[in-house]
Amino acid sequence: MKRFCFAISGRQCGLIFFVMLLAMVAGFCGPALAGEAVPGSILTSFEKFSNGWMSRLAQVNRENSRDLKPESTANGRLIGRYINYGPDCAREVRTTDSKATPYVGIIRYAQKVMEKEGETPQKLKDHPGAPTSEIQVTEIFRYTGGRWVY
Amino acid sequence: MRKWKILLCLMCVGLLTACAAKQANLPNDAGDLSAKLKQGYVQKADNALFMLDGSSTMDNRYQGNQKFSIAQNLLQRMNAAISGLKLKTGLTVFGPKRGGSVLVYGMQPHDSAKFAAAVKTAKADGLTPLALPLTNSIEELKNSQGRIAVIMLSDGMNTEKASPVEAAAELKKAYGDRICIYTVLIGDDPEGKAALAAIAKAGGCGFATTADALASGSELAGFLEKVFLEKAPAPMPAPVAMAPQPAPAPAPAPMPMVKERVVMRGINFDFDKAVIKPEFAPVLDVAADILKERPDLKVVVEGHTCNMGPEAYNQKLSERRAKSVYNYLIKKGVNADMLSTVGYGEMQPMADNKTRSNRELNRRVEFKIME
Repeated sequence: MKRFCFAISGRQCGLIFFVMLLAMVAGFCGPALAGEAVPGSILTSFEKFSNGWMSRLAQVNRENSRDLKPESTANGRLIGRYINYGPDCAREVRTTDSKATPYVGIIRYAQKVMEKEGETPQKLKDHPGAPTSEIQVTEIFRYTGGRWVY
Repeated sequence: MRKWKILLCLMCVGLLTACAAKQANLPNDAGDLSAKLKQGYVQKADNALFMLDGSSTMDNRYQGNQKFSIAQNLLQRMNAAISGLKLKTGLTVFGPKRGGSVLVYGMQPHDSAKFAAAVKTAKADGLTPLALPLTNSIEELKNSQGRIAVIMLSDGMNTEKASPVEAAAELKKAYGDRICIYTVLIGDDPEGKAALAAIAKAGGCGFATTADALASGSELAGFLEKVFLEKAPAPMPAPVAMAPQPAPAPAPAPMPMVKERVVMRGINFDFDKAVIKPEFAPVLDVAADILKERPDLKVVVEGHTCNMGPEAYNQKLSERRAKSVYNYLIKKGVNADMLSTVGYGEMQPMADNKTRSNRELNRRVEFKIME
């Protein structure tokens, strides 16, 4: 150990010690305690999972935008509304006291009612859509059995 | 053996076809109508009386769905869209076994959770006395102030002798310019369509439409806009000499609006059970913490399913999920007074149910934090 530490800088040694500590917490110490640092591997896995989740919502957004049915207004213009989720989100992972579910992951994003308008169906289709109202959505997931569950 | 395989395949195809035919409306898909009030619109109705046809013909199916469920779904979507308006609302369900026509909710300041619960518990049976709810509404609306929108959802199959058109004319006579009658046809029966069109016409300022014409969020929003909103009049020029004005009436308390949605994922109950498993607890604990941070707000705990499986089962399942979560939150110290529960079954999906991915999005327990 002494030779190993000599071979690398003191700072690197400290980093390795920290990584080993994290590995012990994740691998050997059972469930994390609430408030403990979340292992990097868990953060990475939740980032990957939440990216996939937001991609699903992006697909729903595309379907909603594509499938909206225009209606005529009194001034002869066309309008159409649809729901849009995200695309931006904030992520958070928390440790818990639970053996079965040592972590929970939280995603926060906006749910907007979008409105498109135009004089013709084509112009309506080309309209980028403008938000008319917005609420906050928080989704909470659990990490159970080594995977994120929904 | 081969016959059994063929039969099984046919059953699967039938089930998939039925699933695909289900309506795929989004929650709040008509948006928040009150947002328009900031865009140059004002309310043109202060009261809304919804009339839901609960007769046995509404038990029949239309385009793969029970007509009564189509009407319930439409009402829930309307309910979500109008939740931010300052309205007194009522819900009448009509059908002889329910005593002819019964006001099951209101007239009272609109409470979207209670209204949703009233819609959800309504049942379809008996004959169709189309005239009765219109006649009864003369009494039901007697304490209302301001303008009134009557919205009738029905298949228009009148089976009673009393004329619904005459009843609508009497209602119009009782309230004059204050009232407009709107009808929404569930299904496509030509006689029913004609009957509802005549009722709306007798109301003078309303109109008739169909559930098919309100299938998308934008269509429904357009309909509700016509019923409840109008462009604000241009500001009047300032008078030369100001007459003394009476003190303005105090503004009514603002109606609750959805401020935030919190979705709890992975609350997957075992088949036919509603036990909170230990692995669910951390998710619910986070949810409880969020609620404890906002002790002054009203919260509706909602259960939602995808459209796989029988509709009635999904409805019960969503109710059980919502109730179990409610009980857990109470045990965790959340104030029971701030919570209520609703099971929406498959009626408020986040996305259409055409793909597995979308169905997974739709299976959830969530709560809506009301402003």
